[in-house]
Amino acid sequence: MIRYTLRSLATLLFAALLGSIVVFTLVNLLGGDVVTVLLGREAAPVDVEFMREELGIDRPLVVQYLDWLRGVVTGDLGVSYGMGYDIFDEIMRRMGPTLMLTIGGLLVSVPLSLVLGTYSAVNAKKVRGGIVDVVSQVGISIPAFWAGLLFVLVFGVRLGWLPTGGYTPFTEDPLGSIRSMILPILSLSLGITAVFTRYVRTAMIDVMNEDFMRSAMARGRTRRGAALLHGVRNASIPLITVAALQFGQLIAGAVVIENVFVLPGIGRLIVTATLAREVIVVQSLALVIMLIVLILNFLVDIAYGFLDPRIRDKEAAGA
Amino acid sequence: MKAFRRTRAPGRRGLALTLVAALAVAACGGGDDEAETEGGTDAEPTATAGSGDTGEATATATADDGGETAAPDTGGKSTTLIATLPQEPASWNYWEVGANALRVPTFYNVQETLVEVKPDSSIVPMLAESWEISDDGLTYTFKIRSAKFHDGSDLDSADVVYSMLKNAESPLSKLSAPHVNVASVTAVDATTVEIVLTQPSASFLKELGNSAGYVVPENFLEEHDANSEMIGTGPFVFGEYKPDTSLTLNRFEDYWGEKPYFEVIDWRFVDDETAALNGLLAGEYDFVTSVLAEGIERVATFSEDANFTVLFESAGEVSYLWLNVNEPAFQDERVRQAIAHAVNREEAIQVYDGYADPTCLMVVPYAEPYNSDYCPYPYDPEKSKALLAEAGFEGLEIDYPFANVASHPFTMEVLTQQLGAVGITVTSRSQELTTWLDTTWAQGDYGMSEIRDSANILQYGCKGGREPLGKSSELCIPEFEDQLAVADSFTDPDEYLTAMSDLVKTFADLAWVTVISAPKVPQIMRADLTGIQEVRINNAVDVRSAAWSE
Repeated sequence: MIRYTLRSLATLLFAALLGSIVVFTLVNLLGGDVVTVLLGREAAPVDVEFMREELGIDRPLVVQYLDWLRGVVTGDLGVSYGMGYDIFDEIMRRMGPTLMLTIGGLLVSVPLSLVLGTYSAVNAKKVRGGIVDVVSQVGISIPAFWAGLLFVLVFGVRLGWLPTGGYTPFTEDPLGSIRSMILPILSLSLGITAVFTRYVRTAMIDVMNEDFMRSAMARGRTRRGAALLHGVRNASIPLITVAALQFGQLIAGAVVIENVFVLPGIGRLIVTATLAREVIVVQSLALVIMLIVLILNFLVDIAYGFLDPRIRDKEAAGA
Repeated sequence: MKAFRRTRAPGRRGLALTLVAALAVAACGGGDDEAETEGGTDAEPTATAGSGDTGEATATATADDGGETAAPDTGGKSTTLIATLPQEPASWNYWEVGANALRVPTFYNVQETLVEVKPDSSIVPMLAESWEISDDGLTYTFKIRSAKFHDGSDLDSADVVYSMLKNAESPLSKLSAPHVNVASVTAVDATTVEIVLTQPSASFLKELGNSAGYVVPENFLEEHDANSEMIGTGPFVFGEYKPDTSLTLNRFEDYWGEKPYFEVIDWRFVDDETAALNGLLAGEYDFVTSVLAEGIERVATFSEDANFTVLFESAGEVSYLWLNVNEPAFQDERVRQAIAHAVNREEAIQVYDGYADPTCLMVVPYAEPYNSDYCPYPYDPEKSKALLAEAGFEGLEIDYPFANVASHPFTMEVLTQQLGAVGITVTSRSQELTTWLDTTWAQGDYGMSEIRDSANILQYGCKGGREPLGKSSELCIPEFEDQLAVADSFTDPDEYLTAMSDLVKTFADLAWVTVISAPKVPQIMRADLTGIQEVRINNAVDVRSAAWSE
């Protein structure tokens, strides 16, 4: 087990490192650097060179990368070139809206998709089950940003119930904070709820045919009762796996939603930092996101090992 | 298959439960992180100007802000103005950040200059209470007014001398170029500064009303972190800055001039125009300062709505296409003229839904008295084709990298089609703005391109200051260079106007640059907001006299 954990951990770190090299290379391939952004069109080449030197971005890329990596290892991500903010602090500050958005999205879509998927599976052969299918198919097809815009127009502009954008930190005004996150969370969870619903539905239909379901019904449970008591538990296995794996997708979706709703989260920071050629900010962000996703997957892996004796046994046999 | 499932099912059930638990733990962990993050933010506000005043003011601002967000519609006459800005500068260092985004919220509001240029081009006192110019036009003597900086220190001649010498050293030509002819800057006494020039300059005083005349406390750049702080003498104090979110300005109670109506200006960075306009409709914002791209088509709706006012900002910039001076084909004047004749300005301004004036001259501000409707190469596709044939450049191909922001992609489409109509094949390449600045502007890898610019004609020329057509190409046309040098040396106003008028005409005649239009940027605000300027001098959204109407 320890061996298994260590190996997963090593793979994780290696993947994160590789990812950061890819990101670093790509951002440097974009053309233009932070000095281009800062000085704009007016500066003479000599001043541009001077500033590059001052910021240390005239050094070979490998040296710059290793310099950043050394910082990461010692727990110091450095400061941004332009504003000079502490990158670690800024990322932590931006985590607030993004975590509220993504975790909120999961909290909405996981239970909702369990209900919808089960309902659809139980009623698979009826019209009402079909309606759920159609609705979820539509949900998959609607882009999150478009849904967001519609929500803003209806609930923000026309009805005036909820803010159209902006973020209020939870510590400043809990109610306002929740209000400001309702529409973004709904927009983000629309698509994933639809995806999850289909997973649950398929799993449920499978489970419904299991022997133990028949046994439950034989013991006097109704079809629906059996589905709720035994079916949902079993059908949530693939859902949880997918939900954990989808977390990366959620963060990608957050980039779009944060722009539509003007939320100062991780997603917006990636966009603005890339446009401003804040290479080390982009890199640090990419590393943090990769670590989050990888750690989540790692936890799922480990959990499998703990839960499913066969996986553990296989590892032990292999070792 | 059935059998396989039967053996697997029980294991799966247990797995599910634990995974639910694991996820719940992960979720809780996330929640904790978040709380810590918020706490951290509170404890150490990012990028707040260092003075005690500012800290206090920021606290007030945040409180106001919260109230405003909670009740957007009821706060009819709040003392906070919430306005959106489309762009955010990469840093607040006025001395080295060239982006207009820096000047838009801070010029006049936070930072002030020696003199002030009015929309009609007249020059009035600002930090210099009065001034005298010697008869030979070489010596300027400024009397400095009594004023306080936001850090509490008093303005005196030492600050002005420091600021002028620093501005002259700035990497930005807006700040430094006007100081090229300065021989000396001296503090005569605590309130008198004398600037001596090596040759007369008609534009010098006016430039001291632009970024070249910024006044900061002595040793500001050495003693402060200019990237996140700004200390000026303006009516508002630079308050809390939250990247990607907002910049708060707080009324400066020791301001030397008339105090503004608003206690707090809450600038919000909203680059998504749809979001900005929706927020305005919902009453969350009071003022959307610039509509540049996809929001243009909604401007008409706002104009018809009695709840809103649309003010068209004009004069700030002109849009032009320019040719690479190193391109062999363009050395033939007829080819350049053919390109100029191919441009249909009436059609091109449809990019701005018609909110632009077609123009052929490089005159910024557009309102300058030497502007005219002179146009050497009006739209004439037949003449254009004839010129190309005469020059032997039928089937000419031009590489056209464009910046894929704001109106540039739309202008690219129009120009590509118009040039195509006279037989020129344009190959366009989409570039992200910074890539464009680097490869097209700085490295000169282009045939032609288009830009919107707020630089006046005196900044064009190959002898210093800003090189005209991208840093890589130098437009060194002797007659233009001579005119450039001469025009500025006239001290007689009439002579100066005539010279400038000739200069911009010569520039148009050369056809390296084809000016297309002067776009009028829609600014949309609540109907009861008054005092917003129609003309933005120095790109500033000047809110000094903004107030709610009775």
